[in-house]
Amino acid sequence: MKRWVAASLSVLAILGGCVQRERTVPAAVEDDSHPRRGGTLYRRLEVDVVSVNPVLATTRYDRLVANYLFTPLVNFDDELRIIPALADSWTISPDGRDYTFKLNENATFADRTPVRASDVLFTLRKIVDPQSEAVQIASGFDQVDMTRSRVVDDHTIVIAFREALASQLSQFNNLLILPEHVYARGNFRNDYNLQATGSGPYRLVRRVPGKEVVMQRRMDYWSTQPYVDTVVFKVITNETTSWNAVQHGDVDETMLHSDIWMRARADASLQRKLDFRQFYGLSYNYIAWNERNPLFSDKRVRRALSMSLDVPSIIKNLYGGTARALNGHFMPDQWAYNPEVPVVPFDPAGAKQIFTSLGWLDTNGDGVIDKDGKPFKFDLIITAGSVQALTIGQLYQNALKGVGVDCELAVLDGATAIQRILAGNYESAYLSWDLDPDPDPFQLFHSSQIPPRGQNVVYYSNSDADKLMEQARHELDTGKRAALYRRLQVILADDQPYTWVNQPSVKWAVNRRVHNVRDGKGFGLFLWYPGELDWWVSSGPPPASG
Amino acid sequence: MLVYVVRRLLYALLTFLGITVATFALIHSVPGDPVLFYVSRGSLTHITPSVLASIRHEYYLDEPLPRQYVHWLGGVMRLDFGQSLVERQPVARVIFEKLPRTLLLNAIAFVIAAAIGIPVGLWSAARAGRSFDRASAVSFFLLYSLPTFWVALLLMQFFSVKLGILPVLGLTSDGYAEMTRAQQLVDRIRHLMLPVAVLTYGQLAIFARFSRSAVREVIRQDFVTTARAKGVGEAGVMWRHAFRNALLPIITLIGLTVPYLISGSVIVEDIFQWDGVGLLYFDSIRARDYPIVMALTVVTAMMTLLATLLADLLYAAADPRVRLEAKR
Amino acid sequence: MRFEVWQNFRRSKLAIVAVAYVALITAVAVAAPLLSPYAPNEANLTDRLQPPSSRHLLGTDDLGRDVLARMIHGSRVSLVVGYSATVLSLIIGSFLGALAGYYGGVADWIVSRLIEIVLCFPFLFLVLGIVALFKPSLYSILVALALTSWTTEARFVRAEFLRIRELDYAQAARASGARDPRIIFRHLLPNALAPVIVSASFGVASAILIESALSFLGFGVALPTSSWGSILAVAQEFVSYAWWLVVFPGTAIFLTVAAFNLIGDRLRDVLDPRGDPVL
Repeated sequence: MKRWVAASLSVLAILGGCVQRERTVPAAVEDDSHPRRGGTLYRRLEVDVVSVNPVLATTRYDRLVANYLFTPLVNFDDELRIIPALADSWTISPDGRDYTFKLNENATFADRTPVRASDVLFTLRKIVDPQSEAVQIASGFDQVDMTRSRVVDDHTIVIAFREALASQLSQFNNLLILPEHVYARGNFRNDYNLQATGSGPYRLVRRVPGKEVVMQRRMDYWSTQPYVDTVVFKVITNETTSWNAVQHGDVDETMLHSDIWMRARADASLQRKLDFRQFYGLSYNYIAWNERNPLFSDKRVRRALSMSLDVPSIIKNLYGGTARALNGHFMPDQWAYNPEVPVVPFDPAGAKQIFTSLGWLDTNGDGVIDKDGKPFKFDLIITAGSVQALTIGQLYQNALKGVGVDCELAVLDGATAIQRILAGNYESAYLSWDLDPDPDPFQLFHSSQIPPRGQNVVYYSNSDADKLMEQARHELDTGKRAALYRRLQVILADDQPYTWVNQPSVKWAVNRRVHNVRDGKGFGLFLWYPGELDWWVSSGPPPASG
Repeated sequence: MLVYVVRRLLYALLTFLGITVATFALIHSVPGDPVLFYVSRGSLTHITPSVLASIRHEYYLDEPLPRQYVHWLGGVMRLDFGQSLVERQPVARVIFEKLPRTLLLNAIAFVIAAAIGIPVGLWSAARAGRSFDRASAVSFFLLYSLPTFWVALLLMQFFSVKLGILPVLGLTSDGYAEMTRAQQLVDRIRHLMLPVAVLTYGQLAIFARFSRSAVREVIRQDFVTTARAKGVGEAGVMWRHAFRNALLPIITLIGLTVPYLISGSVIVEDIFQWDGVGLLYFDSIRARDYPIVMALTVVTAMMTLLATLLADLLYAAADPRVRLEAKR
Repeated sequence: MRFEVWQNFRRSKLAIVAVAYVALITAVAVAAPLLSPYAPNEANLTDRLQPPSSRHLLGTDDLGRDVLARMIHGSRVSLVVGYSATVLSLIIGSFLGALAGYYGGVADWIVSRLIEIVLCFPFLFLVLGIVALFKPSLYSILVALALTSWTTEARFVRAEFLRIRELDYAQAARASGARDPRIIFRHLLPNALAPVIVSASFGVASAILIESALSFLGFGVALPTSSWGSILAVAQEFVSYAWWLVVFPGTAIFLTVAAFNLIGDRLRDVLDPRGDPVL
């Protein structure tokens, strides 16, 4: 389960200057020691894009493609600082509600027309229009005030908001600009899913749904030229298939699950061909407890359930140490993290004690604890397709049996699982978050954010936590905001709305013919700047195709 | 005869309606909201309710089921299968793009299986009870019992990963467009080999057993006995009488297998990522893409109906008894 | 008569081997808890993905569970699905087929349309739909299989009834005032049995195959209950280095399906030499 990888960071990072890097490329390059222009990069797409219209994007995969074809107003660098992209510079009004952006005057779309402020306003209007189905991106702009937002001149625009939010600037990373003269024609929802015109460094050659997206470098690109001539995204949903494909040279990179990654990394011949990378993204696995269910309404019960999960063994044996235990919602890479909160220990005896103290005893000798004649029995929803989740689910089921809790695994396909969870029609679920760089957890834990409004799918409600979250999202000073979140971390750890399972490292294999693959904080290998736009491929023979 | 044909057509129409109603009811009662799934893509994202409502309205999903069905049926009458919820394109376009790939894959497997299976079946019939008959029957039955998904897994692992001599997946290689005609042909064949192999071996038994028993059936009939009595040699009996008369049931079988050309390769397409209608079908069920599932069901059902109808008519034309019954 | 059938049947050595195998695997399934070297769900993460050894004869899976133990218990799922789905479809098929064949007219018309509808459905879709409608479990697989596979039996019984109801003894029974159920069960059904038994044997084979395919695709029995197909589903992820997870359960499925198919084929030769090839 992934959440849109949006972007954001501290407001202090705003003032970065224009980082236009100049590259000198040797005229003829034969060896691998210097960057080379040209060649084709083959990338894997785990899930086909919904559309190449970035306003309609719904998953992180859409963004992988859109990042080559379009440019956002602002970018993130490898330290998660906000840097200029299509906008050269910007200012924020003293009340924090109005943003004035100056666009790069050289910027052009793939059809050679200049990028104007009116295009930005057009894109914004499309995003907030419910008819457009901009389901994902719209949530980052739901406070936008279209009546006060306006074009100042060809390259200056004011975007106004009703409320000053600390995380707002980061949302402009999702504002990928569309040319009005193209996208205003025809049916916005249906006509631009296979063709695209953007201001990015590549132009779309073709998109074949379910198969591939092919892009060609723009010779007339207005900013730093990337190295690779052609980028091909191949849709490969099956992980085994994808692993075969990367060994075979059919694709240059793929994400891998821990088992394959750890074994393959130990293989010298694979090592020569593939670069095995790992990094900690802003994502974690957790078990959601539906607090509307009387079984899970008591935080002591939730703590006992958390104490029954053998996290250290999972990290050691299942992930070979390439995962972290978590003490709560915020992760160590975030400035909001509070290192002083202890991790819930694995302690089945302690869990048993808690259950006993709450009156949960095995009165009828069937091995399952009960209270008022009702056994402690529940379903844990697991979304089909994840071996890792199934493995952990079964381990947990075993462990719970030991403390007298009867947990049944309900493996449901994505469509059913999502519907039941958002409708609150579930008991518990094994899920994951993939979080924004901005740490604001308002939509996840604030009592006003129960579905369908937000993603508080556990129906968590704590007035102290509510107050801290409200205060923090309007606090423009990062230091003060961090202090508020550290206090929130303590409350969340105490309340255990989730059982935090772990934060596994994200693992990749990249063909060694691809060079200059670097890590960006929080993002990993790409989607920060320059990230994947800085990669280049060897002049050697193209990968064995198959 | 005409009455018979008309009656059969009417039945076919009724069956067709029954199938569409059943499919419609089934897919709409399976839990899982296609719009929710489309916008969330399986993740717990922030979803604007007004957007959900707008999409639901666009696809008539906010109306009561019977009316949705009527909408759909009305569209089908005009040969309009609607828009795919996932691809956001007309259903017909999506299907017609992928249909040739599935037909190609299945037709090749079908032809190979028939080309091996039918001669072996005929030969077995002529040698009934002898070692060739028994050996071929047993080996075909063993092949028939091999689970396709397992064989696919093993073949892929061996030929594509261990030996690296065949492509892992897909329809064609990259750079297909830049190849010469001859290279393109070779490339296509290399991609077809494993999926075709997996689809073929199970069908061998079907063709062989069917043609064998068709021939045996003919041999038992009177005119063959008469021919034998008249002193026609065994080879003559086989060629002139048995095989020729067994042709009709064999052709009928081939006719009845035609719908299988569309729906027979769902699992194989999934494993080999063969981007045809089988994979589309599977993905559409998972995503609850109602319009696609309905359209594919209708297309396969229509083909099955047509095939059985043709087979029945063929039989009626050949067998006076059926015609007589039809007149009654 | 019965003796003759058996005499005929056992002339094929392969069929005898198949029967012996089926008897053995059925015994294994019945006695699973006694035979199993470990508890099938006993996980031990430090022992995960171990190749076959003296401690774990067929190796361990990704949770460190003994593959042999899981396969022995998995035989229960395969056989329960195989046998029960077949019995269910026999009951449904014979009942509807008898109804159609005996009464003819409207009953026949309705049943015939029903058969046509079920036959025209893409099979996998119907099964996936039914499994998705309920929770994935042994029962939903059974229901799905029973609802989709009764048509073969129904057609046989119907055809056989149409043929024999006009024959002398049926007419005689009717003339002597016997009631319909009695005629159906005492006189007609036993005579229609031969092709039905043959198709049942093939039915068990195909039910086992379908259950394993469904489990392989992740629509099988609820975890942690093991089935051969679900071991293969996990094996898919580890195929390049855990060959034992792929080879053993796959072989078990193959042998069991083959045994039932061979028995069916032999039965057909013996019982119903004129019968349609049902595959």
